[in-house]
Amino acid sequence: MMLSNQTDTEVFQALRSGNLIALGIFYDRYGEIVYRVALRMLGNAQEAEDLSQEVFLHLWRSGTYDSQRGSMLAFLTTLTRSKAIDRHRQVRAQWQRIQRWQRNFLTESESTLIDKVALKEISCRVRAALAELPANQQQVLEMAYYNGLSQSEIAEALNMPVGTVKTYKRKGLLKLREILQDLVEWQW
Amino acid sequence: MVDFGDSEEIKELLASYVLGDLTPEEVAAVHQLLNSHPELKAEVSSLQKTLALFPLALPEAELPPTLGSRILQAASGTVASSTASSSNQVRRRLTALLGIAGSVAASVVLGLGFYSYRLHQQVIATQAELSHYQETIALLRQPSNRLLSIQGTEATPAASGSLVVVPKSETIVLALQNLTPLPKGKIYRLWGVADGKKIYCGEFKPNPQGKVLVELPLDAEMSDSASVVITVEPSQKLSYPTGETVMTGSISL
Repeated sequence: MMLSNQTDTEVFQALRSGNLIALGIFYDRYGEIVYRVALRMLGNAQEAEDLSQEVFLHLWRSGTYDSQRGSMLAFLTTLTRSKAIDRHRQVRAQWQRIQRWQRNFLTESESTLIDKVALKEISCRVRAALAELPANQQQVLEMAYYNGLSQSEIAEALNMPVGTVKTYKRKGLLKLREILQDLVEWQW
Repeated sequence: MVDFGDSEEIKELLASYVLGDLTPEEVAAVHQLLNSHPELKAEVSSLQKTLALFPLALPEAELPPTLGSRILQAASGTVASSTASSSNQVRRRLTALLGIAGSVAASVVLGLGFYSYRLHQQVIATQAELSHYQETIALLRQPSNRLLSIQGTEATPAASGSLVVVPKSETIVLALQNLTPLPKGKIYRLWGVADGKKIYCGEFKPNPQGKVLVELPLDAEMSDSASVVITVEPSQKLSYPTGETVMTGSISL
């Protein structure tokens, strides 16, 4: 069977044995989404390219991905996000605090093959779901996710109580899950 | 200790947990809660998955064309983690021994890495093409197929080909050659002729060599047609032909 038709878990095994084609396949599948997140968070193409390269080289060299702990897609977007936040130095300490606190409860990825077409479709769904959220919920989630801002920083920026920011964020996330339930339940 | 009320409250607490919005004390309480109620881990997992989907809402970005090859190039200079075993040491020692020759060897390895990646992409494309032909041939082997031979009109006398109606899989296979490539905004359409009416059967474009091999769905109305025409049409959808007829065909044998 062709490597390019295999699941992420299988391709990752090939990558661990030093197969460069496997890295090419992951780039083919997820390069765009990694670059998309990097571009949004860093705001310029040059830095976004550097960061994308850093993310894929991290995958290649460290081999820390574990399908027991979630999908390759979630792994790469989370890695991109944390590396981008690392580059925003002022929030670095705060991000490390959050990371220390959080445990990963993502369940084993069944490693369905997410190809570029599937990724496009999922993206459309998520975009439509986000558009259903009230504007203020969208805004605080985006500020928290892409700018790595804390609740109090968002509260200050938007001139609203911290409690309100917290409420908007969690309501937004719960609503997204409700709309995207089938995608969330689907094994990926 | 946080007071956990009804499940709505727990959901909200877990959402704030996933979003990193809790104080260390609250986080500790959540961890305790998850230990005593492991069934809530699924709830956390689904919220973490939702958050992982969040960035997919970003508009799609155009990947810089050379980024992929630069990543592979950088990666080919290093070795994947788990292979950092004896072979790596041997290579390092060799590089040290051979000095300049070693770096030449490294660039050869690198070149081969690209070569094999590109080759791999080519194999994928070739395999897709091959399986397309295989599927088409499988269709042609079906029983009760009907063949129409198709000829270019005066406008395109060199064009020729065949159309096979495959009733068993409700498909038409169309194979043509010497068709003129069309400018942007134009397309070839195939029409079945039954009771003097023209019924739309599908549209296609030839490859740069003027060849066509397509499968089109067989419409029930179409199965009565004893002849077909091919016209040049504007690419917007119209349910009737407006353009010049460039090929015609009728039942042969």
